[in-house]
Amino acid sequence: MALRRVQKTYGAVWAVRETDLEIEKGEFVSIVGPSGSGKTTLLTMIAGFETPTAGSIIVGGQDVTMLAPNRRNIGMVFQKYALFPHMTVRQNIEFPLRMRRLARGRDLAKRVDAMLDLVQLGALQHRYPHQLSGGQQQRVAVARALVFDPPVILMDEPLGALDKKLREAMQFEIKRIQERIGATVIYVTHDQEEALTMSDRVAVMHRGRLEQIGSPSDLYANPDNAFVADFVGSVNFIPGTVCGTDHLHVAIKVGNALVQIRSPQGRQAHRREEGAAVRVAARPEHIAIAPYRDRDALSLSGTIETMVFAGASRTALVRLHEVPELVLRADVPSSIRSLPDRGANVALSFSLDALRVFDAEGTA
Amino acid sequence: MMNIQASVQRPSRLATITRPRDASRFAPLTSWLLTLPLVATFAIGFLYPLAKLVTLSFTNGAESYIRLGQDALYFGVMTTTVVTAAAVTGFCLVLGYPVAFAMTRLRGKAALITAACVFVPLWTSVLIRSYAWIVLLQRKGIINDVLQDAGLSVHPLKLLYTQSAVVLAMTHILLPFAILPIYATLRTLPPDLARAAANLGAGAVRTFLLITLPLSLPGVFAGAILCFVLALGFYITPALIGGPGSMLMATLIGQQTTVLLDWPFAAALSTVLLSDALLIVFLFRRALSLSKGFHNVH
Repeated sequence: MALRRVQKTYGAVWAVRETDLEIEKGEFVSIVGPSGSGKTTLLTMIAGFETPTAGSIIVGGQDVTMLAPNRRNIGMVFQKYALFPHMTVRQNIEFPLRMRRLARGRDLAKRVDAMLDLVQLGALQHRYPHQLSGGQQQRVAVARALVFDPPVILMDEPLGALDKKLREAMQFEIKRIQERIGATVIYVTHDQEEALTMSDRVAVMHRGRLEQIGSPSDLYANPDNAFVADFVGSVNFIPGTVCGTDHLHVAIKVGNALVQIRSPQGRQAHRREEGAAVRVAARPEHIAIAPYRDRDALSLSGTIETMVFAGASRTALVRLHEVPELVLRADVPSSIRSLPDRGANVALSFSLDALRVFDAEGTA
Repeated sequence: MMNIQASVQRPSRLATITRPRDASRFAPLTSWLLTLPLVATFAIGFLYPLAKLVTLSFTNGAESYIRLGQDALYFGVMTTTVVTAAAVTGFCLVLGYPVAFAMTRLRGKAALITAACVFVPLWTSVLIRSYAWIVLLQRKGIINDVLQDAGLSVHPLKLLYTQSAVVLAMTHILLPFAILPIYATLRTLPPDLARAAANLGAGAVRTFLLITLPLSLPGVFAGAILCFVLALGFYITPALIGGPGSMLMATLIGQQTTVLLDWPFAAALSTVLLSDALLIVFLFRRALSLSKGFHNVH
């Protein structure tokens, strides 16, 4: 399916700016973004509850932009499930088959049974939705969206109402079902972690604009801009000025110290001009902490303010000496013994390949 | 430490009724005191007169009831009353449902105007609204004028003092009592349900018939009971608009008390009307609790 130059305005307010998106068959694509970024609007346009102000939506080679929602063959799992309270689990799952006249009698029973097996709800099929737990209701909603074999399934924050443990279990459950039937899924969430673990590709939206789309590892390692870098995973931004280049590297002055990074290419080439105000982005796991005496020309230094234990790693918050108003977050493996204590001065070094550089704040 | 010990101590018997068990509740005694004014009003203003009424109807033994049972006239009036109330209820629901449905969909100015059209009549005296119907329906009234001017009828039609006029006016007056409960129920339905139905392949008509209508039935039933019970005891409108041929129970009771001064018989009529209303409400609720749409919602 594809979105071609789709946009939506409410009066003078942009909800979704011109967006292009191609999704392959069987692909699991997440749309992430903070609330109000237009991701749900995009989804409601694909489902047909809203018509785009301009552009077209194509599903399986057919333009469905102006088609009523009930004439589109798109499944949807709603944020609050939207199960019909006056129908049993089984009746809920039968509903799309009856409405679309896809099956009747024996055939209908067989398809519903198969779907109940898939979501493991056979034993609860005669219960009403209010007699089910949140996780069970969620599974009914998924079954109801899948039972009529739509080529595309939309999910609007389907796990938002569940607690953390259950949410993680359901992530695998949804992924398992999706892979088993090879469905194309568009999954909207504000939880970037959820998007990274489940998706083949992730699209990041911000203020109605599709900022970047790519595989989770690609987004994480090569964000196009500071917003994506910040939204996908966590990142430290260190402000500085470009002060020297050779053909491979750029030196960036941070306070009185220098940080060296790989020379940015292509669209970002302007960021190697001397004097350009930039931000260096470093993920917490790419910052190494060393004893203060080991510092050299290419490392920064700081004072440890807090040390937090977080299972596999420890998170250190370090106040930079070079930029005193800045506190960096560094993740160090818990397995390292001899970690410096709170208040200790340390040297911070960066893995050269993992650093990225963006325009300074306000110019991005 | 002190606090913990204090709370572990067994409370005295007085404390169990004067102190609340948890912060979000009133103590039992406080609860009773708070309901006391209403309970007292209810007892003095409703239960006592009701008991008095029933006693009054038996002043001459069961004589009033025997007369009531023997004379077919009274049975006829009773039937007319029930049929009228049922017809009014039916019309109220049929006319009120679309209005309630529209009220949940409208936004801004249109919503305000619709709400005003529902509420303003409710704030207007029943007497005024009944006289308004007389103005409309009388021999030289607006409707007859229009019909004659348009050449649709040669002679003025007899519109006033008919059974249909009574049903028409009562429907108009009771309409808000059907609209408001239906609207209240429709408003609580999540809009996602209708969207889900559309997404699953149901068109607008089937979405309404299979999802919206069944889920709004509790409101429909509440509106029906309200309209029906109010219609059973309607007095002013049938008295003004209905002819002598279409006498209803309330009018008959009024006649017995104010004109014929036969209080025991009037009391007997009232008691019968009251028990009819109770019986019908009971049967109605019973039928509904057996139907699925009612008890599975929320």
